[in-house]
Amino acid sequence: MPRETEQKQLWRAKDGLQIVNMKLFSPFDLLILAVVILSAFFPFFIENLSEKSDNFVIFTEDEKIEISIESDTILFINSVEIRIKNGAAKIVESNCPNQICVLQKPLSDNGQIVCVPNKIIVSRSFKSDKKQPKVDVYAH
Amino acid sequence: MHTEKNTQYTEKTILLILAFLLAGIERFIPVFPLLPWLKIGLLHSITLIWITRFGILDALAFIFVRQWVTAAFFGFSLMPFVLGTAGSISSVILGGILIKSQRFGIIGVAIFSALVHNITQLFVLFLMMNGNFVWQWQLPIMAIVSIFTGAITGFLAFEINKISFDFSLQKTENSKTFETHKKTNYLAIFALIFVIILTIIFESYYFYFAVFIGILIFSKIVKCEIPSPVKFMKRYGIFIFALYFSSLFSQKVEFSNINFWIFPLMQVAKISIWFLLTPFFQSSGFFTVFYKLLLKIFPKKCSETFAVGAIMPQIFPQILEELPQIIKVVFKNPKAAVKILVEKSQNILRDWES
Repeated sequence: MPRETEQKQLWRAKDGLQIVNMKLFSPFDLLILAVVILSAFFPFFIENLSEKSDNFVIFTEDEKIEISIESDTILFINSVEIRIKNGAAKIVESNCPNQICVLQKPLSDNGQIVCVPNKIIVSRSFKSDKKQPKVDVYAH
Repeated sequence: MHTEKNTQYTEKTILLILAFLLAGIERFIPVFPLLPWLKIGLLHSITLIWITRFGILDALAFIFVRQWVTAAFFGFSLMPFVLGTAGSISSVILGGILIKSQRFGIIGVAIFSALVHNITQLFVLFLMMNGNFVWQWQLPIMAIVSIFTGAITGFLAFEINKISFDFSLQKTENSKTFETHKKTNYLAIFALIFVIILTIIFESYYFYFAVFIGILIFSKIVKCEIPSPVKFMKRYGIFIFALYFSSLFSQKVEFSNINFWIFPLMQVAKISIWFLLTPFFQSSGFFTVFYKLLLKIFPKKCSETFAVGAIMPQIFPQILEELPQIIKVVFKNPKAAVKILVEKSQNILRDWES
């Protein structure tokens, strides 16, 4: 270590500051990497709680709306415009500040479109209630 | 004369300034089209340094300080604020334990805390959405993404930590504590909170125009100096242009549509209002009240972190005036740029204290 740096360190130690040398890598980092990669596959190990529906399921704050995939509709919920066309759902317009939901790509198969400020979720899979028999809302 | 208190004071100030600059830079990176929620979290490199130098508790204090002051500078929106705070608290505690164990490299710690940050946010979202949120889809993407973002922040922390080694050599003579700093005006604070809530609810040109007129009139009444147009552009011009161009590319309006060019102006208007409001935050003692409340939760040794946070709104605009010089150097020699930044902020600190 050069003498100058040594002096600085001494000075810092005198001031009651910790002498900090960061390690960039350590062999233990591989352990962390393994944990992170395992956590990526974690959802595939546990029992799949969600079920795939034949319809688009739209959750709002207090209700659940199902719309058939083949339909060609535009929905307005709390100034959020949801468009379903050619088997794909998309949030076209929203009043939320960050516009993350609008920027998400159209949903046709897996995944979810979420608008957090408006509490709206558009998806095709939902949490199944195993106690209750399934009710087809669309058929009512 | 070189007491422990003074050294930490300078060092914390400069680290906080760096954190704000990184937060500012991050806000102007255009949104990645496939993952619009993705943020690198550049300023968390400073959080990592803060943990290694001042401990976990002080890093928690740092989180509250930087959340509030970045919100005051770059705009306040509720969801990112709640999610960010929740994520940072858990990642500081768990990442801090890893750092204190002294077995892990900084990149490993950064990756781990990025993952913890993301999982906490997913959990909070899950609670908010009445359990309808299917986290199974999000977790794999988040885990993979956190490897990359964590590696970036970890490397940044390592590099900044090396440069900032010289901080304590030049010291300021006196340090002021925020208790003696300025008188607080509770009426003004309530007015500010009211304006903040309004800016969250309303988002229209009319409203921004009304706030702008309000600021002009109010500054005359209260005798609170707001920067002249020239000075304003000199300080915030870079931020405003960068924000305009980055929000041009993070929207889904067609290129030929006029709205493509007009919609980003809304963002510019919003951030300008926030920039104009900062003198009011400073003169009303908004932060002082907030930090006094926080000190009841945190131990006394964290008071310095809050003191630094309290003087920040005044120092940071002056730093921004020096930005053009720093940007000239950045592309040739980033380390030299940070060194210039450190020297400038030390000068400003010294001027401010004398």
